Amino acid sequence: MCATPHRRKRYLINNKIQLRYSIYIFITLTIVSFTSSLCLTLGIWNLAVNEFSRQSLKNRLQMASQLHDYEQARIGNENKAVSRLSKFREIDLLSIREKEILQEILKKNNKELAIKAILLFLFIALGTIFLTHKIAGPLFRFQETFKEIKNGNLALRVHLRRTDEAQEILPYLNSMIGSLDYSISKIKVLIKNIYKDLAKHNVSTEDLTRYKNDIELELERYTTTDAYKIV
Amino acid sequence: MHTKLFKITLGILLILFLFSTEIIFSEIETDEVLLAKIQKDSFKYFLDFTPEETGLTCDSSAIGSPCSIAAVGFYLASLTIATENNWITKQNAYERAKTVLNSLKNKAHGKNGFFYHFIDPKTGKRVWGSEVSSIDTALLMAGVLLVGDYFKGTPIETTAKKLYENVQWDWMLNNSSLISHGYKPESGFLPYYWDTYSEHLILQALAIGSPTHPIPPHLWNEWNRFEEYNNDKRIVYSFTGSLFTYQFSHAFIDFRKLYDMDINYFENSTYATLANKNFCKNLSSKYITYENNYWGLTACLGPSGYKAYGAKPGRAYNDGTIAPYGSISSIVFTPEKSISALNHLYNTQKEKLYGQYGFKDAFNLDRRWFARKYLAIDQGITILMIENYRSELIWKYFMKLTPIKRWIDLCGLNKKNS
Repeated sequence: MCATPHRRKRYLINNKIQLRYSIYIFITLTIVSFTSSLCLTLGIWNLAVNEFSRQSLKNRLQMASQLHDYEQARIGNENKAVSRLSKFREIDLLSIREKEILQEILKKNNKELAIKAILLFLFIALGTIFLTHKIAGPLFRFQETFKEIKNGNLALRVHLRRTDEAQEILPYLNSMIGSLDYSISKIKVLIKNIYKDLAKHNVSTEDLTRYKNDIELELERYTTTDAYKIV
Repeated sequence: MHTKLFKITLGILLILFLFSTEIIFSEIETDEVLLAKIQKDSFKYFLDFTPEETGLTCDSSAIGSPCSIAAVGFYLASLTIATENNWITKQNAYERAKTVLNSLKNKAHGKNGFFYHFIDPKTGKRVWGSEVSSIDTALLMAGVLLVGDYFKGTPIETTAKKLYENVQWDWMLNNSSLISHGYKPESGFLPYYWDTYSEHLILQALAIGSPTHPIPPHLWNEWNRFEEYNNDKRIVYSFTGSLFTYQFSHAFIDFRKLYDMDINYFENSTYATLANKNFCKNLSSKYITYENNYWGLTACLGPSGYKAYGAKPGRAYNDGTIAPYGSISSIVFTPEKSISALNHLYNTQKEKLYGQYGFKDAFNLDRRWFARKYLAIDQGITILMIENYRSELIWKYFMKLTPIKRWIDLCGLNKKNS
């Protein structure tokens, strides 16, 4: 009964990205469907329509009749009494041929469709790699950047390609790194100055208090946990 | 004065002699030219209705026609003729034959070395639910062996031999003493067997002569030789009485010196052809086609479809339809009558019956019907038989083949027995 935590209430979070991806997927699926439909239309249906056109059927009917006549001529069975029955044999022959033709069409088209399906799969696979690269690329860069930051490198900044996703968060990320960079470098300078003054033996209590206040002021900007505890 | 008269008379005689000689020679030349033209035009069918990539010839000129493997056999055989007559180069014929044999080896569907009667001309797959056909495979193998021998010492010979040796002729017996017409995977062997005289002699020859899967030679005597006398001549006849049954095997096998006991099948075909011609003549009052001196009842297209038309002796089904190939392909049996028939056909029906691939399949004046199509095997038999008449080319090559020699020896066909 309790509500699921972090339940998503809005599905259009980033209209721009979602719209773009909807277009990408729509175009890909349209190309795939169109190609498949074209193959079916120009392949199976076109062949079927041609094979079962009136003229083709007429030709086959004539051929069925001729082949039936061949059979009868070979066994010397051409009297008129069986001529009505011969129609059954002609139809039988014709149906055999129609079945053969249908099987042939299906076999031929299955073969063609299999080849085209492989090509479409390849197309989808390549398209997927291309599209996911737009997301995976920035994610990879962020990951590498976070690693560097963890290791203490605040001098770097993230650069993405023009067509990469996550362009919107890039300024924030670089600004965050810049801010950290500024704070750490400021603290480093202040500490360096303390040591410099101490070395000259001309440091007063007021100076030290000023340095302490500056450092504290800078550190105050950051909210932290108690991750580091002095034992 | 007498001398002058003598000289004038001599001059007139000389002119008359030269004139008559020219007429005689021009007539001979006309026949030769026409035969060559029909042969060459008929060969064009094979060039235009054989896909270059497979070499599997279409059964007919109809749209969507499947490949008939028997037609491929005729195509292969006609390649040798085309080469010898310089219609195509030997290299071209070689390439074409190679394509065919490769298609048969790698593409054409069949079973136990036999091929389906009808296959797709482009893929070689079985079509129309056709049967694995014994006679059509035999006609195909006749062509295969022929080109194999024609291109001796080349890979074609090796492939041809392999294709022939792959045919399991004994399987087609279906554990009987006769060869079945064919086999279908769905229903097994067809319930029809080669049990009487017909075009199957070539099938018997190749099956008995096989070095790998032969049928026992004594089976040669198992099929019926039904006889009937026609004009005092004994004829071993086929059931339909169609001329093609007396021609197809003879296109490859030279039966002139072969004897099946006391039967010479060359002579038999000659008598059957004459009987066919007489049969038409006797029915000339009934049919306009026959009345107009056309003859040659054989299996062909007709106003009511493809029928095995024929004459007596036999069932003699006929309706006035004549196939030009019937009389023309009997040219080796009845040269004068066949040449006369083809001249008559060409001179009188050229416009409606003769096209770019030679004579169209058939016509029927009674029904005012003319075929618009060409059938491959009918064009093929025309080419081969004319060539056998002109140069005996096919016979020369075919009779040298080891399987044929083996068949002749095993069946004792080289000696006349009563």
